[in-house]
Amino acid sequence: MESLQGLIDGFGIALGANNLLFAFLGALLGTAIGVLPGLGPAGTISLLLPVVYQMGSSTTTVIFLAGIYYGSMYGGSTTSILLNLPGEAASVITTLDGYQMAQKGRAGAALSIAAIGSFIAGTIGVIGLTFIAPPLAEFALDFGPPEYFSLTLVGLVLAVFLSGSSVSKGLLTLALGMILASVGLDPITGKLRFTFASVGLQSGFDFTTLAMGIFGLGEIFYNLEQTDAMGTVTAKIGRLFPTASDWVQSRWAILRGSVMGFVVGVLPGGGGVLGSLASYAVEQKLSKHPEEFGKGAIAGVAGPESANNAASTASFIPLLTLGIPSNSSIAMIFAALLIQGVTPGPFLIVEHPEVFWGVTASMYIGNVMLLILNLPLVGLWVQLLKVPFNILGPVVVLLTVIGVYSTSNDIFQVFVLIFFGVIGYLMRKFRFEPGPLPMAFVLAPMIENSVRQSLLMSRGSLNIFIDRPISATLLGVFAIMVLTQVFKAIRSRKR
Amino acid sequence: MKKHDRIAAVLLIVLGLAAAYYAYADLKLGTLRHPDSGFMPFLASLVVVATAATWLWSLRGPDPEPRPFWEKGAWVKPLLAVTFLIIYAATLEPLGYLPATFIFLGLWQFLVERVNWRRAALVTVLGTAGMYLLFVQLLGVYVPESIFGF
Repeated sequence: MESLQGLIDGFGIALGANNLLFAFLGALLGTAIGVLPGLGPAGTISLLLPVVYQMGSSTTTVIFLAGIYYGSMYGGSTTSILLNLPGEAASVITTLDGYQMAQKGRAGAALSIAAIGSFIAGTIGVIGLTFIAPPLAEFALDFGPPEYFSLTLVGLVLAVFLSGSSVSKGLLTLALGMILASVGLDPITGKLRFTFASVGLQSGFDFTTLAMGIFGLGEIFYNLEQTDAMGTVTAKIGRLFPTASDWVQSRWAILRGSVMGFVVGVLPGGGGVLGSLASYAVEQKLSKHPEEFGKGAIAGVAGPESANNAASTASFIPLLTLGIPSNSSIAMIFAALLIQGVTPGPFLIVEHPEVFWGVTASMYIGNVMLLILNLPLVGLWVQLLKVPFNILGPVVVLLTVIGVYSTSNDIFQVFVLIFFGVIGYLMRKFRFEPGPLPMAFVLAPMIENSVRQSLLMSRGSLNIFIDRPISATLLGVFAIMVLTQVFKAIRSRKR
Repeated sequence: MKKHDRIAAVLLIVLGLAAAYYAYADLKLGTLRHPDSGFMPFLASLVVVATAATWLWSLRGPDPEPRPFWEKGAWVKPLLAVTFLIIYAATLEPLGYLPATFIFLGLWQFLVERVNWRRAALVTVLGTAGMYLLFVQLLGVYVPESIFGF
């Protein structure tokens, strides 16, 4: 009942003119960057972090940035279906059957089932958020420093394990993020760390600068090597709405994808990519005609597209209830909330109910907006693909430079930005997933403080982490994850 | 690619060891009862060393698919982009926003993207004017002024 009352209050906030406008702008921008290959939601949100300083309301800020995030999941399918070029990592799997459908003149049906599936999944995801988040936050109110340390540790490591890329590279990226976060003044002892007599480094690296460098500049430098990758739309869109037979073949795939995406999305690291891959595998297994997958099966579009939308909504649950960002885009929203003076975590629902319920209600509205934006306006989004990289690239570069300069009025920060841009470029060249770096950077102070506070509380005894049941359970999960990885490595060596 | 990966892994091990030594010797680890400033950076550095060593270990043996780090000439564009960006950052305050942005966009269009001169000139002029209108006139962002006062 409390959730329903909260949701009603949330609609009162989300339906305000300003919040409606920003929900729309977020959905619009999210769809645009989802369509454009090469610029993902994490990069776009990082580019907008300087704007966040100017936005007065934390609720409006999160409504806007959340719209970009889930909007990008809708837009990502367009290029996958029409160009065989995923606009988003979570839409990679959609290329298999979506592009085949487009080649057979059924692009319209593929686009519409992707949009309808996304709408249903997004709505199921928000319903889950409405009813699961409040009790979870209440449970987390009892957490002390040991529980927070264990939870953050499990969250970060799970994010690496589930990301699908190399575990050792992921852990290495996490550790580098932790070291980068320690640069500057130690908040407990006041000692300077890793500053090497540089005045500019005394206040540490700014998250905005780091994120814009790694995701904005790094992506542009990397794309300069492959500017010829952009294709041209040759497929005809055809009839836009699915036939009755399409609907019969897709409905269960949409529902299964929604539930699976939601469950996977709640886990750190289990964002849209994992959700869509899992959904595709399940649909192929359950299908009466598995041989049609990869040749234009509509369930191969409906399931994964639903899963990646449900997952993107579900990933707000650990952020808003536990203060744990489950992927790099959510880490940007975490930083935006901190900039606005709101600490994400179990107290958020109690201390800032307007943020939680306003954002949740805006997601219901945002999903309707996205359905309207994506179906009738598909032709407009296709036109967006004609923006050449020689315009898009320098515009993004100038946005990052001026964004960083305007927030600090310090040219040293622009050089720091370029440094992180080069790091972001090299990470992509060496096939490192950059996502864990901002996640570790943003969570490092919480990890360090909780470890030091726990050890102070226990007078130096490490038993505090295993004496408390919640912390012990989380560390047990951590041990199981690590052992599973070790056994996997040993097994693959024996083969 | 394995050769370059090995070099990167070794560099990361050296970096991790240097950071661990700095955390241990300069920042101090403290005790478990009173962890000092170097405690967490030291642990993080050890993780860097261990994971980079694991990466290096996984790169044993011959490279099944030897490929160059950059395909033919692919390094030129990113290198030019970084160089021009450094020049842009160095000239932004002394020259002011408008001239520095004009030079940066011109260099980018003519030398990084190498589009035909008409298109390059058009994007440079319109880009500079458009970004000025967006940042300075519309958003009211502070940018360094040129000697002409704008």
